[in-house]
Amino acid sequence: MTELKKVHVIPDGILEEDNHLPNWWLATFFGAIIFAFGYWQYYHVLAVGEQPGQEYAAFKKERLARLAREAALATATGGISAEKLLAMSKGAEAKAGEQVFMTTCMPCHGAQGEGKIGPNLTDSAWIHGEEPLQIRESVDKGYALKGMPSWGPVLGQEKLNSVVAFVLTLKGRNVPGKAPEGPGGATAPAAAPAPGAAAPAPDGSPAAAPVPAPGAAPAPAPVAPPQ
Amino acid sequence: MNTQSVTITYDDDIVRKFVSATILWGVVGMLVGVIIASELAWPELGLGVSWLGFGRLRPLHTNAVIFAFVGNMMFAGVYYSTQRLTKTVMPFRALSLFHFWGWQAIIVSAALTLPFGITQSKEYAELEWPIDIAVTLVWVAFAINFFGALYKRNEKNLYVALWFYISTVLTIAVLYIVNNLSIPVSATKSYVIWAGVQDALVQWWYGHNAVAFFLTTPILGIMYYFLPKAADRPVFSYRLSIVHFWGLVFLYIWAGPHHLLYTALPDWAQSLGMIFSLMLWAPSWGGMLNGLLTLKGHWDRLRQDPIIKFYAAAVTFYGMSTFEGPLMSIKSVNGLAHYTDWVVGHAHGGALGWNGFMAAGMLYWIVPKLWNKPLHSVSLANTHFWVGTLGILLYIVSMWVSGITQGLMWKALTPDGALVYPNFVETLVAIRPMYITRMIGGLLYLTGFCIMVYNLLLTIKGGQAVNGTIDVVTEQAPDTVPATRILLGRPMIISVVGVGLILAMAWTQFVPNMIISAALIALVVYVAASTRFDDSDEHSWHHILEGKSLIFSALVLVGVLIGGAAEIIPTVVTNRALPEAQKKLATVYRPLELHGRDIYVREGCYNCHSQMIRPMPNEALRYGEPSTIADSYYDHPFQWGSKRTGPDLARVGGKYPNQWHYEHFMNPRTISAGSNMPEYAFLKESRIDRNDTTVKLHAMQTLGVPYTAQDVGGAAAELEQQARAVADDLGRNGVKVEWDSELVALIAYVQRLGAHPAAPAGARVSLRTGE
Repeated sequence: MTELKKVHVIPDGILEEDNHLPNWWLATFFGAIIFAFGYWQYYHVLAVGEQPGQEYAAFKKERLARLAREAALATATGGISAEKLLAMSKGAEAKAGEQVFMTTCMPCHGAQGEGKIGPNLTDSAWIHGEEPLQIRESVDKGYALKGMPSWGPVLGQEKLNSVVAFVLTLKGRNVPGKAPEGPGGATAPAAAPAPGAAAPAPDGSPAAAPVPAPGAAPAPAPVAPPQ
Repeated sequence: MNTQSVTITYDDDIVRKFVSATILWGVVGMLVGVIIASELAWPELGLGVSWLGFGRLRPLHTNAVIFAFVGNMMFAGVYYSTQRLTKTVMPFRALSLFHFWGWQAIIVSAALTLPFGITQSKEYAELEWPIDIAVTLVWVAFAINFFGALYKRNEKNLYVALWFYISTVLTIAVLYIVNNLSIPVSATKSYVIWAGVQDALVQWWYGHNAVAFFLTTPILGIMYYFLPKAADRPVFSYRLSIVHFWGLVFLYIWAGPHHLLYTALPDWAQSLGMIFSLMLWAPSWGGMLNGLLTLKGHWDRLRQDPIIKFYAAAVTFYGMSTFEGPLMSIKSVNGLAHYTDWVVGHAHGGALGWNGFMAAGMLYWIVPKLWNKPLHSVSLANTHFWVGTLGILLYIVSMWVSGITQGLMWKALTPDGALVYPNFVETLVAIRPMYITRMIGGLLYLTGFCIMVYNLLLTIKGGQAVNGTIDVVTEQAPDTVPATRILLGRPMIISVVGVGLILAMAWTQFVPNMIISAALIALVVYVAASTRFDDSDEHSWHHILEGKSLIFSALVLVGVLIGGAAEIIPTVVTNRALPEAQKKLATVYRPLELHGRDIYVREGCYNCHSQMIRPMPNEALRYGEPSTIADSYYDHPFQWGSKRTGPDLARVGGKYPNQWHYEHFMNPRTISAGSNMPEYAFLKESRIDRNDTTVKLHAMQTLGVPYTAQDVGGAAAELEQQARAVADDLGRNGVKVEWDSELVALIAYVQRLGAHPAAPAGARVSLRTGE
């Protein structure tokens, strides 16, 4: 296939043959070119194929619908209750929850829940309520303005419930650490802002820091409201 | 006809200078690489010192190996071979010297600025504007010298090595200037004129083609000269060199957007980046084939001659990298590989395998010639080869394992749709053994290189610098072939029609578009048939073209400009036309945040953190809603990043309290055990320069960021107010920090990321609860 053709003489003693191009190489080259046209037509001219943004939107829609179904189902079957969480806090779930706590909560609440950046979890003062379901709500949704992330979407149901079960075991251990905050503690609490509230927090906490930028007028949220 | 014979003495002194610089900067660049690889495995090695931090040293490493090591190697090869292929001496000795000393001065100034945070934060284009101007001047000197040699050549036809050099000289000039256009705000700081998605596209058009036209085309030229010389074999195929040269030159320039797949870059540009990368595979392999098939039938030389070993391995690594590149450009593969160490492994397969081994092959061959003494030790050269090869294999295999492991861990979801590894640091801890392996691989490679340096120094010692000579019969035969023979030739007409049809596809839809597509494919089939049966004789179109250096160069320039223009111009135009409603969502930084952003840039945070959330389930769960064009609309320069050694930061604003960031910057490991981020406690002690605030805002105004005169006038007061709020918040938690410290500014910037005042809760959407 690659029979020798004439030889060119190049300066400085280099010789250059003129063999034919290997057929398999030509096949890859022209194959890639033809594929490129097909790809372009499929995704951009006929627009049959979905772009990443469309794919993501479809995923999001389906996901939210599924969540709604699951929530309805959970309500119908009783869902998670304070009793269940308390029972879990005495079982193996709390042990599993401890592992989640050590990677997820420890950086801010300390290894023993004594408080560091976040509040002490071992005293009797609870800023957002001490009931099992209230604690679950705090971990699930978070308090963005106070720096508590919403862990529910990150952890998922199982880990969420187990870590709440573990936190329930910390209650009342009174590990020396951060001073009590919230109702039942030594300091009077500021009114806790509702999660996701747009109102600036009075203490200059982070989410309140950005005030409307120069030239920026209020505008709709960049995210389409969920269905 | 006027014929006379003269003896020409080549200027090999300039080659010896560039060879010496190659050896020196090779050691420096790779040593910095080993140091930063060690820092990723043992972050304590940074000692908390600002100029030892990974973010500051990584640009030093990349710039040193690309521009200092490969740059000097390339210039040595180009000066040596161009003189011999044109049978003439470089026309301007003064410009050669200016080129050499200017380039070394640029390298030294890079080494004196990058570790101190003087950077534009654009990868492989970090050097600040005064150095950019110096680079441009030196490059122009090089271009005048090179084209001068082509002009006064004593050999009518240009050999393929020279084609590749032409494409390098012209394209790098265009890329470098366009990517570095910026407004200076001081002698050491500038803001690039591009912003957000435009800047991302221009940057990766540059970045990808720095790989193409700085690390690939000149080295291919060097291969075409040195490999047949060292192997004493004829080059395999002239026609293959024609097809793969024009293929590379035309196709490479389009491929930049493959660095931006799944980002906020418009989908059409992403698709172009992907399909052009796939089309590049064969032209790249054309280079590999012409190298390997030149050695075909003489593999026994491989056992005896270390130079042939290096060339054969280098060309094979080139083939591997240029297969891996198109593979990683396929969107679904890229979804896994992007932001991971796989990309780092890919880059080093090319850098260590292709560039490093081509350099070694060239140096082992050229040094004995330049100093007229046989190589000191062939067995040491063989040792270098095996140590270096082992180093490369350890490096790239560990980065494959690391990249794929981390990519899969990021993506892993539980059956109920939550992240299996919600803590980013878990995925980092998992790959730490691979970071140690990679460091060992790099260290082995450096060891091999040092063995070469020793070997070459002993060769040079006692050698005698000699310059090559040649007797030339200068034939002043007039060029009788008219230019129209080229410009109206069949290949020219086919190319013009082809490119015209490709561009026409942008303005047509459906049926006409399909017809154009079909016409183009017919054209491709026609070209395929003619390359198969055509005979390339002395009168062929391309043979005549090779005798006309000016037309040849002009066609190369047109070829490379088409792809860049086709992608950049529509992106800039449509970006300008972004709807007002979206523009209002763009982040306009407050003065303190702007200072903080400059610190983020200075510390090189973009080397490890992206600010670009891709539209994927796992990314939305981990980082928040996918990034939009509006998010970075006024970001001069963009900070999308290309690697996630740490997590994405596009929507980190408001996720943690100020105190979290304070503790984390002071020592990341107190918050996040296993983190390999450097400590930034030194930022607490340094103060922001408040005299700069107005200048910075003015520059941003000039660039089109909508600051009002009132904003600029009240900037000082607003800055102080915001800084005191942050410092007071920290103070309430028992942390004492001066309000005008750099740490406060950086925290303010980080807290602003993704936290838009017009939509405070919009940044975070729960895919579980739907709230």
